[in-house]
Amino acid sequence: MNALKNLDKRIAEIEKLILVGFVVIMVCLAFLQVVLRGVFHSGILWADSFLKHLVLWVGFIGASVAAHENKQFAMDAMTRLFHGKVRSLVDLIVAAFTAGVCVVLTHASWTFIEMERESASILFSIGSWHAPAWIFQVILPAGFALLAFHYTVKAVQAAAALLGMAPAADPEKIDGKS
Amino acid sequence: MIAILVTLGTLILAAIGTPVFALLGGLALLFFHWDGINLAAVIIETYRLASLPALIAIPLFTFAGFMLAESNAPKRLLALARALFGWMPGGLAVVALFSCALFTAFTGASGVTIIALGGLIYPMLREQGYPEKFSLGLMTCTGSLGLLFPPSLPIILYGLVAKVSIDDLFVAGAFPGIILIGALCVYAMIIGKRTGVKETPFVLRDVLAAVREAIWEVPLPFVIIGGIYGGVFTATDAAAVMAFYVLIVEVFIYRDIKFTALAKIITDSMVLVGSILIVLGCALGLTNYMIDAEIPDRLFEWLNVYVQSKVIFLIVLNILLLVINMVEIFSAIIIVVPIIIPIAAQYGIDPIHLGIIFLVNLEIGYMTPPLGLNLFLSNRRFEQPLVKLYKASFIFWLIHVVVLMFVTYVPQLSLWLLHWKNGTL
Repeated sequence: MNALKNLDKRIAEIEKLILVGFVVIMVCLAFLQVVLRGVFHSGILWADSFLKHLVLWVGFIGASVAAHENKQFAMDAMTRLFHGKVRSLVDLIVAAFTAGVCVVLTHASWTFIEMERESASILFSIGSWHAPAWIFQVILPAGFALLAFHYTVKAVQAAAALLGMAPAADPEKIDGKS
Repeated sequence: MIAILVTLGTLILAAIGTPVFALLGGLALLFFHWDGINLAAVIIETYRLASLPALIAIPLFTFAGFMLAESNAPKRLLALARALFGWMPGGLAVVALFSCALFTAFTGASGVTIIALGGLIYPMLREQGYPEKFSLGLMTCTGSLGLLFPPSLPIILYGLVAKVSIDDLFVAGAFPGIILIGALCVYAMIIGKRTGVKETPFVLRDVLAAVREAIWEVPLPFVIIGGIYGGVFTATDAAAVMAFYVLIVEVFIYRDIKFTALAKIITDSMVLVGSILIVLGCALGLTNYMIDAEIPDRLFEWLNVYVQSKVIFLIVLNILLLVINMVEIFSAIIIVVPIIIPIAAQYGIDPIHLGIIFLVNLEIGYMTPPLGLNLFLSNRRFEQPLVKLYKASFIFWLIHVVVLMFVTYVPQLSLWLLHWKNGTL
């Protein structure tokens, strides 16, 4: 149980680290692109496409951290009314449902990636290197898998609390709106 | 029968706190599965996120806004506004309105205004003798004031979802936004005069000192807001410039933000961005399905039996939006806009005008009892009971509603500036 919780935390830390790196790259590259276009009437050819995919990566990893921190958008007015075992049961249903949806979405994304690999679509070219689109699209299955993982951990925690094996989740920490 | 079960199940899951993205994703998967379509088609729609033209404006503006909120920019902004406008009747209240509107526009209306500025302004208002009820109401309503000005996040999201030009939306929102602030300022001045609060005298030396303090941030609103209105920048370019500029200014020039704090600001802002984008990504599949299934057309046919006139439709729309927006605004935009736009078009409503109606409704939704987010934020920030806040914000709410009516029933308010800019007037 603790090992699972630690793994969950460790993964969230890695996700945050990636976010910091990606956002710094995004801010600098987007600015550089505006300057190049505005002042020199040129620009990096691959940058726009690259940036759009960077947003996708940042979005999915951010969503995964949001899942870890219980900050996904959700209606939380009613959940405040539940306490104790009822609360754990509700948490279990919500987390298990969400994890299930994410698993199916992961599978569907994987099918999508395989289709893209077969068609060998190319996103952009830098010199003689043609960037295959699937490398950038891999965040779709990876992102949904990360979400599935975080919600599975939540489901396991809620189940443990329901069976009296662990303390119930702290209601203050489960807060949909930031 | 199955339709009823699905609806009921969705509502129950939503009510017990299931994340919005999971509900939307689940529904999309279910509908595609029923129609015998490969589920990868849902992902093809999600992947459209990467081809939305101005999507990058969302992370860039959000990051810049979070940085401004964490720095001492709110203090400097307030000092400057006070030195400039504090002498007017109701001066401090007017200062509060303008500072909060500007701050909300720049921080994406995620509720940080009440947290970041409320703690500074509320004690000042009370100290200068403004009534408690007025001060509380003012702070509660300012949490969403400024939604109509660039670079507000909800307006960008509306533009993306509705597939209308974000720059046009900003131009259209300018005049209604000014009217709203103007109306609130008049009320503030009346209260200021009636209670005889003492004002801050105008001292040129203080103004210059405040300008010098904020010298690196003063150009920001002019460059960003002016640049977008003037057509120099697109919203996306403005976002790139602002994010880079704010990063340099707050981290390296003012040094308000240490490197260690920067990492937390980045992750916190991207958590908000991620939770918006995942809802958007999961909604794309579902809304695409609904449009293919001609749900908006069927809704219109059903609605048209009861509602023939445009005016009645707008009234119904306003009430509906007020209820929906109490739930959660970003999700509300993503889910409701694609369905409402085709229906509104049937009644001859311009999508840009609809956007402005939608956003003024959002501002009101934020402060509408019992669930408006601002009320909860004020409740937490000022430690006042909710019922007291309901009463305190009522007049402000009413002013908003009156302005909403004008914005709704006089489309020219939103559209004249745009027509003039595009040379079609």
